[in-house]
Amino acid sequence: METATQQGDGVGSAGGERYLTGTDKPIRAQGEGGRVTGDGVEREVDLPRARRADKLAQGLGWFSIGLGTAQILAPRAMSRLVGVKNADHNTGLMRALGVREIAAGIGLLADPKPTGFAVARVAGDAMDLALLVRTLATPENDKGRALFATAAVVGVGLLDVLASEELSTTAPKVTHPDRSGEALSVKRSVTVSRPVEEVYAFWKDFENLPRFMKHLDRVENTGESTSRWSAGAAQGESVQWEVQLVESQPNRLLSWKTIGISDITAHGRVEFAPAPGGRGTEVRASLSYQVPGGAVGKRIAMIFRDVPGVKIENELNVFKQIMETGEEVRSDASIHKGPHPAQPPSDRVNFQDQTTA
Amino acid sequence: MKATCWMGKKKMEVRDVPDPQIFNQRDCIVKITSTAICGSDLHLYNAFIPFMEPGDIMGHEFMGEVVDVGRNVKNLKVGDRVVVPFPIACGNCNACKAELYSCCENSNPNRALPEKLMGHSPAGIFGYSHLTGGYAGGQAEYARVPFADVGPIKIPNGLTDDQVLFLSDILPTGWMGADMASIKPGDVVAVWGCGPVGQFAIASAYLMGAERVYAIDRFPYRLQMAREKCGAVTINYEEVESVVETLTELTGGRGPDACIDAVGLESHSHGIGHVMDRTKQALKMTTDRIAAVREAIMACRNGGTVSIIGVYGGFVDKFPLGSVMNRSLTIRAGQCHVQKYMPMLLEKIENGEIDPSFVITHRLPLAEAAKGYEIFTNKVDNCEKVVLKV
Ligand SMILES: NC(=O)c1ccc[n+]([C@@H]2O[C@H](COP(=O)([O-])OP(=O)(O)OC[C@H]3O[C@@H](n4cnc5c(N)ncnc54)[C@H](O)[C@@H]3O)[C@@H](O)[C@H]2O)c1
Ligand SMILES: [Zn+2]
Ligand SMILES: [Zn+2]
Repeated sequence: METATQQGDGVGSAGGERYLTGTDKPIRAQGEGGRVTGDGVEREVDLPRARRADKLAQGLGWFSIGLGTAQILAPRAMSRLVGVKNADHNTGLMRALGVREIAAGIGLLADPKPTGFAVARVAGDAMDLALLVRTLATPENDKGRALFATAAVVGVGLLDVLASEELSTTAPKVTHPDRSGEALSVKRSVTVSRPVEEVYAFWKDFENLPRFMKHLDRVENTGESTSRWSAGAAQGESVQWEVQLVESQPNRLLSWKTIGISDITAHGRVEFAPAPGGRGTEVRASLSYQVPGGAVGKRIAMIFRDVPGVKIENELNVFKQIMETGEEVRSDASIHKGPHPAQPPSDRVNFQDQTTA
Repeated sequence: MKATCWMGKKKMEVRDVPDPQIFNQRDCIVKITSTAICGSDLHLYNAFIPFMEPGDIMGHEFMGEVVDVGRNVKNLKVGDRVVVPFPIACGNCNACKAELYSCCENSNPNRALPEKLMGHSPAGIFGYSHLTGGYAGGQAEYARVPFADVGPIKIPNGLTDDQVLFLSDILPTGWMGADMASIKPGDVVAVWGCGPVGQFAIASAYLMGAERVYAIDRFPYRLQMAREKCGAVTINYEEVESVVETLTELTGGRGPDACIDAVGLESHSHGIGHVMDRTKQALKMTTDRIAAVREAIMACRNGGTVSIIGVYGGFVDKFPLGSVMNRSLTIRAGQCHVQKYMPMLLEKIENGEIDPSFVITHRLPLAEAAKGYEIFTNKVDNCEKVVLKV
């Protein structure tokens, strides 16, 4: 495991210039942000995250090749290392394992989106582990060594699982909130099975937004294209900001930004497009908030990250629920902030939409 | 009210919990009369499905009497007797419109979790972990049922609970297992697992015109039920050298036209393979044991269909993709789209074509749910299916 991490760092920084993109076409890094236009749609790619996943996969790739080479070239020594006494009888097996390791390693390095191969590595580890378990069960073998090797393989196994996890969560459709403290941006798309006119009209009236943007307390229209937004009452940190509609193309696009002096700088943009095959409307939304540094900024940032029961990434799902089913969908656990068993609440709860629906 | 709560691995307790409430205007509250323990519940009981919280109320197979309805539920009224389907589905999204109810796009408020694990999220399910929504389940005195205008089916008088309860899950699931296998008259079908789901898959395959159905398990009493109640030809996998070879032999070298997996992620097998699968599962290096799926794939005839209704949770090891690809196999799978099949199957029960109550071997009071779990998981006392009476 130690080795894997070290090699991962070294190799990753030298060769880690391939990134996962919206169209699966490899592109090169340009600073910290990247865009693709392969399908005509511009999309932000979370490059630091993609790079981390890529680095991990590449580290594993080289680790596999190294281990495999050792197994092929020095099967006896490797057998001794894992505690198999009768090393001569096991050279064939060791070599076979080595070939498998190298294949997985090459796969990890060569595949532009190596999820599948990372999973293959996990499977490969399992094969080693099964053999080690057998070793443990044979009395003439050195149990101490085998136990050590089992621990090492398990370690690599966990690393593999991490790599496949990282890869499978690097899908560009969600840009995870930036955790730097000052900025939060969310990006997500969803298909709503309603006509584009209806979906656009609902969003265009900003006073509807708090129904699904659970981080907002209230939006009040103050003019033809201006509104006042507020948040944070529940967290005892009420903040307000003025918003100006920047662009509105009927049934296609809405964008807005903060105006005037406020603690918060906010941008939002949402695109609407008819979904192919009469499936309703594709909605692509991005929101970003910048707050000042320091303690005040931290507290304000918490408002957007720590909304009871709802993660800000989930808000577009709630939008879809309202458009399609008429209400936000709730479960016994989801109405609570943080983990809660799937059990009815002990107090009587009254949701606003129960009285207004 | 009293409810069966998951308190940790192999720890079920019937506890006092708050009564359910209406959260949404399309909810109803059902006072439960009968509820069953499912093979899927065993995966939670044995802690193979992640994202459980101690205190989670279990159960997704239940029926009873409507005691309260939300303002927008027009099709049900207080006093109606209903069976509730296990997937929670809105009826409005594109998945529901395509009758893929167990893939409803709106009913899982925790979509972010499965999106990480699976790419996209399936529907919410009652009493089935926080991965599928964190909904309280129905092994309890009462349950809140969301989208009551879409899910629950009204039961006419004259049919007993035991006859209709399994419309909630295992009867449609067995049916869908056979349905996905596109069975044609003259087909030879093999079903892995003779639990209640497997029994209904066998019976359904015959109803769809299969000429012969082979059933595979290792418990003699379950194999006997498959023979006597469903007309299967049985194979005890502990008594044959190789299930794949046996099936190849029995089908004149072709292999079954369709293979149905009704086993799921706790699949059992022999020797080093089983030790390997169990070890990896214990070390979290594979989430599922897939011995039955491997066999189903290897056994299936060229160009045949493998239909997977056993539940799997995550990533698997040694999946014979080469066999699938090179031999033109079709794989179909899914949590059952219960809402799609319920009316048709209720009709078959009403006119006497099917009586699913034959699988029930144990009727216990709700208070003894923990005992029910224990005997069902250990397959003791010739246990096939446990129904809890409330
Ligand atoms: N797809 C769905 O919607 C859905 C619905 C209900 C249940 N399920 C799943 O169906 C599966 C079966 O459910 P059940 O209630 O019948 O459970 P069960 O535990 O009663 O039955 C499983 C049977 O499989 C047998 N088995 C184990 N390993 C085997 C092997 N290698 N070959 C052949 N048989 C083997 C067991 O001996 C047992 O009899 C479970 O995984 C459950 O989660 C799926
Ligand atoms: Zn079930
Ligand atoms: Zn739906």
